[in-house]
Amino acid sequence: MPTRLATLPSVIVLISIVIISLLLSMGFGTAELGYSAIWQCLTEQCQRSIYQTILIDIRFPRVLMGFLAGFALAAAGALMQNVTRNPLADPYLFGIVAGAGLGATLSSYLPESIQAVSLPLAAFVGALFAVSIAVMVLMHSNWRRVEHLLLAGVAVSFLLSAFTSFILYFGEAFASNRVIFWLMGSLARADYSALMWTFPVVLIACLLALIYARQLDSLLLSDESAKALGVNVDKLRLLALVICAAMTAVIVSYCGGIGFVGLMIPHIVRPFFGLTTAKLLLSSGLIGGCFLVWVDVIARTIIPGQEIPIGIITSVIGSIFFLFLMRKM
Amino acid sequence: MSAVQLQAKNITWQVDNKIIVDDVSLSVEKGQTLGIVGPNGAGKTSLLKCLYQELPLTSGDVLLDGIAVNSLARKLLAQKIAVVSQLHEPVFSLTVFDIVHMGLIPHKNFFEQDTSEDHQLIELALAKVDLSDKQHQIFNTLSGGEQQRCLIARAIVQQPIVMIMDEPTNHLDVYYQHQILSIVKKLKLTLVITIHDLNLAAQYCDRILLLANGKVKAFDLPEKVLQPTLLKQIFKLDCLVDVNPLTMKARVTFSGGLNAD
Repeated sequence: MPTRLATLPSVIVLISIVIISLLLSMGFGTAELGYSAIWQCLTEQCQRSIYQTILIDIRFPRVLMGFLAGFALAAAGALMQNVTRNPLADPYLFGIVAGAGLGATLSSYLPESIQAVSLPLAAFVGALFAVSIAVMVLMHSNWRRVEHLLLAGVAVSFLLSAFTSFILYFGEAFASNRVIFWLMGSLARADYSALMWTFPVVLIACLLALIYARQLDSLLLSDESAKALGVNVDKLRLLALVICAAMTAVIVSYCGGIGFVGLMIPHIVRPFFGLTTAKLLLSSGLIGGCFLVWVDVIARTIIPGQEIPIGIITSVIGSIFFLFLMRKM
Repeated sequence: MSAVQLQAKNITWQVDNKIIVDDVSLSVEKGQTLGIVGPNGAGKTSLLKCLYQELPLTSGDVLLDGIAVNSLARKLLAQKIAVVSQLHEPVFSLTVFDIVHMGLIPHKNFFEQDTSEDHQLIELALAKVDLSDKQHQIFNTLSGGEQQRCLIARAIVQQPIVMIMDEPTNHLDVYYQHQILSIVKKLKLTLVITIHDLNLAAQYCDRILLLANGKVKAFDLPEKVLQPTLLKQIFKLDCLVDVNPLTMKARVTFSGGLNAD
C-alpha cells in the first residue's frame, strides 16, 4: 500500500501535475506549432495571427473544457462512492448519463435556434429525472440497503437508454447520427460559452460538497453511526446525489457520454491523497481533469487528421481498469 | 445520591404490530453504569436505539436531565449522547484518525475548521484508549479490541455526558473484555451497556436491567437481579449464585445443558 502524502506535499504534487498537463497538452494537435511559439503566445504576442486563432480560440478552451469535464466527472464519482459506500459507484452506472442522453435526444427535435440553451437544459432535466426515479424507489424501501441505489440506477439506466434508442431508431438519420456521435463524447464543441455555462455549476456543486464535507465523512462508516453523530443521513445523501447529478448533467450536456472517469480516478487517488470527502473530492477532480486532458490529446492526435470520440478511449481504459480492480477485490 | 440523568418512562416500540420493546421504564443516575442483560432477541439493542432516538418511540418518553430527547435537535443530542454500536467493517480504508476525527462532527458548524484544541482532544482520546501509536493505521487491519477502542475514542471526542454501548465485549477475549470496560468506567460518564456475560455485568455495573421478550423482568442492584430462580426462568438453565472471592461481587455459574437432569 503506497504511503499517504501529507497535506502540503499533496498540494504541491497536484498543482504541478495540473500546470504541466495544461501547458504541455496545448502543444498537441493537427497543426504543429512547437512549444517556443506557444510560449511566445502565452507570454507576449503570437508570431502569426493564425497561431492566435488556433491556440487561444480553439485549443485553449478545449483544454480547459477537458480539464473541467474530467474534474467534474471524477469529483462526482468520488462523492458518489463515498455517500453510497460503494467503490463501484459512478454517475454513469447510476442512470444520470442515460437520463441526460434521453433529455438531449428529445431536445434535438426542438428548433435549431434555441439548441444552445435547450440541449444542456434538457440533458440536466433528464439527469434529474433519472436520479429521482432511482431515489423514489429507494425512499419507498426506506434506504434499507444502500447498495440497492446502484442496482436501481442500473435498471433506470437501461430503461432510459431503451427510450433513447427507440427515438433514435425512428428519428431522421442525420439528426440521429448527430445524437449518436454526441453520446460517444467529444470535446470538439468546447468554446468559451460552453465554459461559461459549465464552470459555475461545477464550482457551486463542489463548494456545496465541501461545505458538507465533515457531515459526508460520517457516512463512510455506516448510516447508523452517522445518525448517532447527529447527521440527517437521508437528506444529506439526497443533497449529495443532486450535486452529482448537476455536475454530471452539465458536463454530459456539452461533452456527451464520457464514461468511467468517475469510477476510475477516485481509486487511483485514494491511496495517495486520502479518502475523506474534501481530500478525495479535490484530488480526484484535479487528477481527473489532467487525465481527460491527456485522453483528449490522444483522441485528436492518434489518427492523423481525424478525431476519435473521447468517450471511446475513456471506456477502453476504464473498463480494463475496472476488470483489474475486480480481480484484486 | 446524585440526580437521575437518563430516564425512560414506559417506552414501547413496535413494528408491524409486533411489540419489540414493551413498556420499559428505567433510570440511570449521573456517573453510574446500567447494564442491560437478557437472552438473544430480548430486544436489548432495540431498547438502546430507543434511548438514543435511532428508533421512533411508539409511546412513552425518554428524558435526558429531565428534557424529552425527541424535543432536542439531532445535533444537540449527539453532543450529549455518544453511541458505540456493534462493529461495522468500513468499505474504504479509513484510518484510526479518520474515525476518531468524526467525533467532532456534532460540535462543528459549516465552514468551521479544526482548531489545535480539537487536535489535542483527539490526541487525548487516543491516549485514553491507548491507540496513540496506531492513529495512522487502517481501521480494518486492527484487532477487534483495538477497533472497539477506536470507536470509544470517537465517542470521547464527542464529549458526551451519556455513553451508550451495544455489546462492547462481544467477540473479545477475557483480557480485552476487562480492558474495554475499565477504560469506559474511568471516563466517569453515565453509561448504558448491553452485555451478555452476567459476571461482567455484576462486576462493572451499578444497576442491572434484565430484559426478556421486550419486557423488564428485573431492574435493581446486581446482587438483587442475579437470583437463581429468576435466572433459571429466563435462561432455562440451572444456576448457582455466590460471591466471587476476588471481586466480592455476585458470581453466576450455570450448570449447563449436559447435567441439567
